[in-house]
Amino acid sequence: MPGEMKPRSGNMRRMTLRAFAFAVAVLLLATCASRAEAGWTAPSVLLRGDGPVLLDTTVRGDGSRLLAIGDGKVALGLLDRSERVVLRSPAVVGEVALAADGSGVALEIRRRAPSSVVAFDAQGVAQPPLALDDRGDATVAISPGGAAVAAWVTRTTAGYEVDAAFRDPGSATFGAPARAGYSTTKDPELHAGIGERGEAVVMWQDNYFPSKLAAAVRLPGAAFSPARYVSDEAIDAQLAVGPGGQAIIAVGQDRSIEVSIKPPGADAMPAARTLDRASSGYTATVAAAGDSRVALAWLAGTSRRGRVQVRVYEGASGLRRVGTLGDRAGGEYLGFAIDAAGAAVLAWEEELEPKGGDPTARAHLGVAYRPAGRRFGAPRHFGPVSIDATPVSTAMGPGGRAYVFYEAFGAGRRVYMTERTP
Amino acid sequence: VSGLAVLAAAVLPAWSPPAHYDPPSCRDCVTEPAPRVAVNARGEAAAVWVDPRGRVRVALAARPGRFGAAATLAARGLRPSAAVGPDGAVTVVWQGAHETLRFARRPAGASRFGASRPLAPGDDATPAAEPGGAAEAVYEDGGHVAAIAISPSGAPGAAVRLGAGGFDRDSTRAAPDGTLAACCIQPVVDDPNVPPDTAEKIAVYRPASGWSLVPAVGHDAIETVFATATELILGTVQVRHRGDAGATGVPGLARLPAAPLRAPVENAGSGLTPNVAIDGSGRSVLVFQEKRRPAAFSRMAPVYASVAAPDATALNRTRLDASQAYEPAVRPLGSGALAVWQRPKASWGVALETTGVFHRIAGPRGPGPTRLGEDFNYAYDVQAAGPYAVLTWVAADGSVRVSELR
Repeated sequence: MPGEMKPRSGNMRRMTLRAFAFAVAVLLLATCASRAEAGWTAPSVLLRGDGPVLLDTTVRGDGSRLLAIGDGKVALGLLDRSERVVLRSPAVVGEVALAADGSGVALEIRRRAPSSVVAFDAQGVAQPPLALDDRGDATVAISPGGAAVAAWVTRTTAGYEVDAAFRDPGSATFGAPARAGYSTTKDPELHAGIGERGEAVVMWQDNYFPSKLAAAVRLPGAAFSPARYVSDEAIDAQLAVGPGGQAIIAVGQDRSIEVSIKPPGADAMPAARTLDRASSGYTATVAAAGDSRVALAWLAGTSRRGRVQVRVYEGASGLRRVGTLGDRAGGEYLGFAIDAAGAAVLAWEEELEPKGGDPTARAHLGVAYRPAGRRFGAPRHFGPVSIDATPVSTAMGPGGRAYVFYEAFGAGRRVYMTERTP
Repeated sequence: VSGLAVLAAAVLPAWSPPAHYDPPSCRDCVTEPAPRVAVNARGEAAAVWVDPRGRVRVALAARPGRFGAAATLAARGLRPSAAVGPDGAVTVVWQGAHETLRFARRPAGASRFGASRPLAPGDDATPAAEPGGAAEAVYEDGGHVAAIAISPSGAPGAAVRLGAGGFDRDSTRAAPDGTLAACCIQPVVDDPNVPPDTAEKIAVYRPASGWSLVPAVGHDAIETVFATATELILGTVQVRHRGDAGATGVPGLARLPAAPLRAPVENAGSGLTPNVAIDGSGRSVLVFQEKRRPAAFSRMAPVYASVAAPDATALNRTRLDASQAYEPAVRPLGSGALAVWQRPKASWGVALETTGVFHRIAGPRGPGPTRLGEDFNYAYDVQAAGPYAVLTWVAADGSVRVSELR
C-alpha cells in the first residue's frame, strides 16, 4: 500500500518505492512462472541495490510468499503483492520472525536503551511495543501458528539473568517474564524457539569459544524447568523448535558434530552426543517440522584436501544420514528447511575454481531437493553468488514446494529467489 | 654542591658495567632473545635468553654485577626463565621440543649446570626459588594454568592444574621470598540456574602455605600482579578502549581484598601499562603511562608514578618522564622501589623510590634497549631482591646485555 507511506524526500524515497514496486512485480511474475513449469524456476530478482535487506520469509498455506524487509527509512516492511510498512525509521529492527499467516514479531533495538518486541498482524498492523528489560543480547521466535517467545539478558543484583516472555496460542499479548537461568556475561549467544502449544527452548552460551552451552525448556503453561548444560565446549550451536514442541540443538566442534534432541513434552534438553566426525567441521544448521521431525545439515571436511561435503541427517528421537551433497562446500550459512512429511530443501555455497589469471574467490549456489521419503535429487547450481552471504533463506511450502532466496553481485547487489514444485 | 655530589655518589647505588652476549652475526638477523633475569638478596644473579641460533643460554653472576661467560643449556628452546635461591642455587625453565617444559639446575656452590630434564607439557613458565633449594614453577598447559614443584634434589613433582585460564603479557611474577603470583584463573561455573561466580582468580603460591586462589575485586582488567608472603597487589585498568596495543583507560592498583584505587589521569581513556609493587617499607607503588593524545597502535607515552600507604584510600601521581617512553616496570628495592622504563633513542629511564618519593638516577652505561615493535615484545627484564636489582635488555646490535644495580 504505497499510499499509506508518509511522504519522503530525496533519492531514498524514490529508491525505496522503486525497490518495492520492482519486487512486487517480480513476485507476481515468479508466481506465474512457478505455476507454469516443474523443477526449479529461473531465478527472479526480488531486491536490488545495497539498501533493502531481507529480514525473513514465510510461505502461506496457499503457496504465496511474504517477505519481511528493511529498506532505508522503512525499518520493517511486509512485501507480497503489495507492501505494508510496519515500522519506520528511526526504529531499528534487529530480528523478525514471521508466522505462516504473515503475522510476526520484531525485535526493535535501541542504542544504549532497552529493546522492545513489536507484534504485528498479517496486514502489518503493529501492536504497542513490549519493552524488555534487556541489558545485553535479545532474540525473538515464532511458531507457524503464531505462538511467540522473546528472550533477553537482563542485569540483576545476582548477575546476568536470561529471561523470556511468551505469547501462548490464542493470546494476543506476552505474559510476564520468566527466568530461564543465568549467564556469566551480558552478551551471550542467545537463541530461542517455540512450538504451536507454547513449548519453548531458550539456549545461551558465552560469546567466546569454546564455551558452555546452556538450555532451558518451558512446557506449555508452566515455568522453565531447570536449565542444564548441554555441552561444556560448544563452538557453534544452532537451535530449532518444531511445531510439536520437539527441539534439536546442533553443537559444532572442530572435527565433529554433536546433537541434542528433545521429543515433544520432555522438560529438558539432553546432553549433546557426537553424531558424526570429519577431518574438519564447519557450519551446521538445524530444522524441525511436524509433530516430531527434526533434521540437521553440516559442512564436513573429507580426507581429500579442500573437499567439503554437506551431510544431511533426519529423524525423530534419533538421526540418520539421508544425504551427502556437494564437494567444495563452504561459506558461513547453510539454507535448510523440511516439512512435516519429510520433504527437504538444502542450499549451500559451493566454491568454484578461480578463473585463469584471476585469483578472486568465487562461489555458486548448490540447491538440492528431497521429496518426502525419497533421496535428494541431483543438485542444481545458481550464481555465481555473494561469498559468505548466501544462501539468505530457504522455506518449504504446501504440497512440498520449496523456495531458496540468495544474494549475488553482478552489476550490483541483488537478492534472487528460485522455487521448486514437486 | 661538590659535597652533595660526593654524598650522592656514596649513597646512591650504581649500575655495573654491562656484560654483553651473543651479538648476531649479521645486521638483518637480529632475533628476539627475550632475556630474563633473576637475583637473590645477596646479589647473585642469572640471565637467560635465546641466542640467534635458537639455543637456550645462561650467564651467572656469583658476585653482584660480575657476570661470567655464557653457557648453553639446550640446543633449541623458547622463553627461558630463571630463579635464584637464597643460597645461590639456580633453576632455569624453558619450553623444549614437543611443547614440553624442560629445566636445568645449578646447585649452590656448583660450577656448572646439570643436564636438563623434562618437567611437564606446557609453555610460558615462571619459576620461583624457595629457601632450601626447592623451586616452584607456574605455567600454561593448554587452556589451563598449572604448577609443578621441583624438589631440592632436582626431582620434578606432580603437575597440578590450578584452573582454566592463561597469562597475558606480564601477568606472572616471582618475589624474592619465593612467592609466585599468576593471573588469571577463570571462575568455575557449573550450574546455569544459580548466579555465576564471575570474579577472576589470582593464583598465589607461598612456600609456607602452597597454592591459593584469590578472587579479584571489581571488574577492572588485571594487567600485572605482585605478591609477597602476606600481600597481593594488582595493576589494573578500568578499560575504556581495547585494541592491538592493549587496554587503555584509568590505571589503578588493587591491594586485595580492597577495591582498586584509581590513579589520577587527565583523560579517562588514555592511561595504560599499570605495573605494581609493594616497596621495601610496605607502601603500594604504581607506575603507569598516560598518552598525551590518541595514538593508535602505540604504547609510547609519558611515565607517572603513584606511591601510597597500605591503607590509602586515594592516589596522587608524579611524573617520572615527560618523553615518549615505553614499558615501565617497578620492583621493590631495599626499603623503597626501583622503576625502569625505555626512553627514546635507546636510552634508559630509571628512578629510585625512597620514603615515598621517586628520584631519577642514571641507567646502565652504553647502548640501551632497542625497540622491538609494539606487539608486546620482551626487549628487557628487571628483577630485584634486597638491595640488588638486575637489568637485562636487547641492544640495537641484537646482543643481550646485563647490568646489576649494587
